[in-house]
Formats: sequence, structure tokens, C-alpha cells
Amino acid sequence: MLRLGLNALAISKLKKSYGNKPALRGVSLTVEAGEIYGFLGPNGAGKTTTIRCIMDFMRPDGGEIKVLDSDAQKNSVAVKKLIGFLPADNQLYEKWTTRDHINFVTSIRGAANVDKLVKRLDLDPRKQVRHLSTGNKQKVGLILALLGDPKLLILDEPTRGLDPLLQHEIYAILKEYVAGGGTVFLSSHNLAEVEHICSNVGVLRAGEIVASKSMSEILAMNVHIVTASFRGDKKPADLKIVGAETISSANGHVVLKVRGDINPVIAKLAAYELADVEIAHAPLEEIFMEYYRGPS
Amino acid sequence: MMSIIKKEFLAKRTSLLVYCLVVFGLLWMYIGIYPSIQAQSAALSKVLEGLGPAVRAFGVSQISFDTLEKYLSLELFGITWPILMITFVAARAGQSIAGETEKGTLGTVLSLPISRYNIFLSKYLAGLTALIIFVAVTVFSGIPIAQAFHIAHNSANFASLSVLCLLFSWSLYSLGMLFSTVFNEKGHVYLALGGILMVMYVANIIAGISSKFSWLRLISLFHFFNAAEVLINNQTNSASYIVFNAVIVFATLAGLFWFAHKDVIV
Repeated sequence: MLRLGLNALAISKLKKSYGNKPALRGVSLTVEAGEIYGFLGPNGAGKTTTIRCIMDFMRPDGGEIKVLDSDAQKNSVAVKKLIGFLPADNQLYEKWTTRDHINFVTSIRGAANVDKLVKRLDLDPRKQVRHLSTGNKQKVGLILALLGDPKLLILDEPTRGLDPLLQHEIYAILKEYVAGGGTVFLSSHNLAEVEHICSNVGVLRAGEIVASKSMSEILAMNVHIVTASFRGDKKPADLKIVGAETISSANGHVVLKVRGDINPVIAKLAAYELADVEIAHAPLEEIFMEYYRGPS
Repeated sequence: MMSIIKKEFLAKRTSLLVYCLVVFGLLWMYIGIYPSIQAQSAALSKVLEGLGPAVRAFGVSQISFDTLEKYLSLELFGITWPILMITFVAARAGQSIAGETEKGTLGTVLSLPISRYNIFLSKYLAGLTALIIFVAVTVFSGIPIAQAFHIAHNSANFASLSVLCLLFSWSLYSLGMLFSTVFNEKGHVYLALGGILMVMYVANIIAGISSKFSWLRLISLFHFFNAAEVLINNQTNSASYIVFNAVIVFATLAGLFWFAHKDVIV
């Protein structure tokens, strides 16, 4: 979907293979400046490969990546000045302290005052990284990504393995960053996180973008879970309704997942003597599973 | 660029210090005990001569201890120094890029606004600086140590040997850096460099034993590392300098090109 406004990130027909195995099959997406974009997909879908191509760690076989209108491969050095990056497997120098890491990155990216952020994240900058917990290492990674006033933050599963308190602190920092004019491109498996902070999402499956929508469009998708219990002689053992998928059916009790208009399902159920019926919006996981699983 | 050179150099300063101290200690010890060895020079030379021509296959050209240079070329620079230098160089090159790829820390450097050429050259220069210090401490320092023990020596020969040792170790370091860009694990770098050196060493020995296979010398860098000739007679072989410089230029450019174009999975 094309959106008006400046694109912080524009990927067009990106292709990448590992040997003969294609990992990305023409990925295209746009991230508007000033938004938090959620990049979703099952394991092995190609999320990290896409990020590696954006960061110029890997060279695409085809396609184009532009960061704030600058080619990410041709102008790699200039583009990296605009990007703050937090990898999924955030590996730091074990013998260095947080302060050593900050000094090293600022010596290249330019001076930055991060003492406030270090204090806010309750981090002891004198401790060696090897003595830090996973959560604290992630805090160091986030601080490093924010150094040098980047215009675009690329975060690969930034809250993986973190406790809810720290997760919420990171969400707050990201929201403040975006309020200050930054853009976030965030890969995640945490759907609650995506729902909480992302304004737009792209779903990648088997190296292809299968959905690119705003969060409100995703939430407005008509997917319902219908739970019905039946009374009397008629047992809907083979209840077949177009647009409805039977999740379970036993002992006069049926659970259906309904995509789109719910009225035909209600009309069909009305033909039976119901003991109870419950209609609920499908949780976000169910909606994303539709994309993750793909056509059966 | 200076930030990466400084980071690389400081990160491995302990190993540099240890290697320098160990080899400097050996040099100090060998020179320190030389006067008593010199006193028994004739008897020891007879024993070594008794081993026959096979000894020469191992790079020993003059079996005598009547000068400090002859003694050191046999005791230290024949095999001990090359082995220690090779382990130093392999460890340095292996950890530089392949080691960082293996650990995943290369991602931190690659995500910064520096070109890959600058990253490679910064790491390369940091290692080369360490190598120059290593050679200065372990070869060139033979001059002040000999002076400290009041032992007759030829300073010009030690200076020439320092240049030869630097070029030999630099060429191996350049090969190691090339392998470090090609492989993603430092173990593979050690294996590749160690394997090639092993083949070269064996080729040099075979060439020394059999005149039929004397051409094998030409594929061995050990043949061009004629430390004994340089230390004893100050006879420098221009072919050695040409070969070492050619290896340095080729391996450095190949490593630079490979690193700039490879996919890095971190």
C-alpha cells in the first residue's frame, strides 16, 4: 500500500538466496517517517535476512533498499549514520564495560550525552559486560543503537527474553523517540508488543510480504470465534458453513472460526436448538496465524 | 579508523605482552648462557656434525657455536622463533575478523558508519603494529642484550635479520588475514594457515634431502626465510624480499577485496 509522506525506509523487490535456497522472493515495503513499523513473520520467514540486507551485512541478489531516499548499498556509510541498530542476538565485547562500548561508538558516531538514559535504565556503566544479565546487555544494546541521534532505529526482537517491566520501559523510550521525530522498524514475535506500539505492520512468510496493513486495519478484520452448545436430538456433527472453520466439535459442543460476515453462521445455527452461544472477536494471535499459516 | 586500530590493539595487548616476554626471555637466556656454550663450541660442533647432512635439511647451514650469530641461528631462529611467531600471527589474524564473526561482535563494528575497507585496514594495521613490536622485542633486542652481557656481536646482522623476520612474519600474517576474511570461524583460519605452512615446511625438508625434489623449495616460504645466512654473514637474498613482498601485497589485496564483498552473517 502506498502512503503519502517521506519514507524512512523503502524496500523494493528485494531478493536474496542462500545458495540455491531463496530466502527473500521480492520483498517490497515502505516505512513512513515518524512511525513504528512492526515486521512480523514465523521463524525462517526472512526477517533477519531483510534486516541484514538493510544494514549492508549481506548484499541482495536483486531489488533496492532506500533509507531516507539514500541507497543502502551504494551509500552504505552515509546510510549507517542515519541508522541505529540493535541485532536479535546482541553480542557485545565481554571484557568491555558499558562505558567502553559507549566511548567506542561515540568515537565513531560523534559525542552524545547518554548519562540520563543510562541512569533511567538503571545500568552501572562501570560493570564488564560479561557480568551483566541478558536484560542489562539488551539495555546496553539499546543505548548503543540510540547513540549519534539516528533517524531510523532498526530493532530485531528488542524485547526478547526481557521481563514485562523492562519491556514497558523500552516501549516508553521508543514512543518518546518517535515523538521526537524518529522512525522505528521493529522485528518481533511478540504480538501484544506489536499491537501496543506499532502503527503499521508487515507480515513476511517464506520470503514474501503477505500483508502490509495499519494496526487498526488488522484489528478491524472480521475474524470471530463462535462457541455453541446444542440441546435436543439434532447434533451438528457435520456442521458445514462457508467461511467458517470448525476448530473443535464434540458432545453437542462446537467451536468455529468465522472469517468475514457472521450472519450466515448465525442463520445456520438458528436452525438448531441452542443451549448456549458465545461470539467473540478472535485474539490477535489468531489473526496473525491466518497469515503465518498461509493457504492450506 | 583510529578508534578501531586502538580497540584492536588494546584488546590483544595482553597476548602481545606475553609473547614478547616469553621470546625476549628466551633470547636473554640464550645470550646469557652463550659464553659457557662458546667454551665448549668445538665439542658441540662435533656432536652436531655427527648427525650428518639431514641437519641441513632443517635449515641449519653452519654447525658451529664459535660466534653468537651462529649459535642463535641454530638455537633460536632455526625453529623456536618461527614456531612462536607462527602461533602469534595465526592467533592474531584468526581472532581479528573470523573470531569476531564467530562471536557475533563484528555486527557492532559493521553497523557503524565506516566502510568495510577501513574496517579491514584498521584491523590489519593494528595487527601489523603488534607484529613490528614483536619483531623489535624478540629479534632486534638481541643487540642491547648482547651489549649488556659484553658479548661480541654484529649489530648490522641483527638489524638485517629483523627486517627479514618482519617480512616473513608479515607475509604469514597477511595470509592469515586473508583466511580470516574467507572463513567465519577462527578454528578454520588456524587450520588453513597451519595446513599450508605444514605443507611448505615438509616441501622444504624434502627439497633439502633429495636433489631430485629440490624444486619443491620454491613453493616454500621457509626456503626464503634464510635466517642463518642473514644473521651469520649478513647475506640478504633479494629473492626472499621479492617473494615476501609479493605474498604481502597479494594476500592483503585479496583479503581486502573478499571482506568488502562477502556476506557477513552476524
